[in-house]
Amino acid sequence: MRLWLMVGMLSVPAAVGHAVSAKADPILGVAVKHGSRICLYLPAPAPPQRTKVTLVTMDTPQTLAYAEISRKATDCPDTITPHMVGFALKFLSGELADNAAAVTIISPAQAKIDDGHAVLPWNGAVTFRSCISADGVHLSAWRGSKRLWHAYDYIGQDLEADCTDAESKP
Amino acid sequence: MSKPAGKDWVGRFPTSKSVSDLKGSFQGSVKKFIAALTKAGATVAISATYRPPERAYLMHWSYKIAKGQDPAKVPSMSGVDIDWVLKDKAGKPDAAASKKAAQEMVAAYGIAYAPALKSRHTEGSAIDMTIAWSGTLTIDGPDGKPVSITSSPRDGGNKDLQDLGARYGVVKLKSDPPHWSTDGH
Repeated sequence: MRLWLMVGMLSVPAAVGHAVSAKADPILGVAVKHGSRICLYLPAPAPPQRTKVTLVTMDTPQTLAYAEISRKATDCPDTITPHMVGFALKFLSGELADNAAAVTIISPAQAKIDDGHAVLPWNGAVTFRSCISADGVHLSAWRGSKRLWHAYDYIGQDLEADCTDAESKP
Repeated sequence: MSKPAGKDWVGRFPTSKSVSDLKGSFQGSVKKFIAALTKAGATVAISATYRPPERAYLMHWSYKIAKGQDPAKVPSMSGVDIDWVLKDKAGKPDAAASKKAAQEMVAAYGIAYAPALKSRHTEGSAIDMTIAWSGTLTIDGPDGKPVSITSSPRDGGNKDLQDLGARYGVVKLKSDPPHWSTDGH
């Protein structure tokens, strides 16, 4: 199953946006492309505009892309659980497939691709998964067998589910 | 006479948001549950109820063909007079045109993930709804006795509300926040 889930990591060059402490934990969110519009969903508080985002496509193999936050968005569909704040996202390089759900991270650490999978150094290697349930897509971050983070995007279509309980539990 | 595959099909057989399109006793169960929620001051926003099987058929097979399925081997469905195999000017099957037509349907539907052919929604036995409230929710049970829900979260993910919904015959599917059905699937 092809998935184009995105994992965004706010790499924070000194010249752009507000610096994030090198010791700060990553903040995870979700991104979804609707036609020409890309919505980025992040938990509060809001990051500054033009913060650069590193994106990881969750296709097989996963790849990296780059973007920046352009503004707060009030017109992003409220499909994400848990509820988050919407932002418009401008791609700098790479892309996301239409209607694909996404994940985002705020972290000073850089994600890398290792053997086809995105790996974020965060107290060890953190990897990312996606799976499908009845009406939506589940995104999750894992350190080994421990789920660190989870979000759900309601697609609103009947889908061929493939999630495990561990991946899809609230 | 059959009509060729293409994005003109996408507007047909739309998903319903009406509780009245749910089937059997589930319709009554949902109406009572929503009435109790509304009376208690909760907000209920319905995203989907009945999804016609014809729509699921069109979405499922257009996705398959777009990914390489031979359109000539797609089973027919009563009531959907679509011709998945497009013809060239000589009247011969045109594989490229057939695949392109399916891809246009996939794009028009907004499909990013493999669509299922059957579901509780296509049976009319599921509803996607977003429920929210503030403070304590004092809601009537199906027996008319009020139940006070003080726990969190104050939405459809609340275990106490899910237990109450089950008493109405509206059962929560754990994996999908808005999804309730006859049996939790």
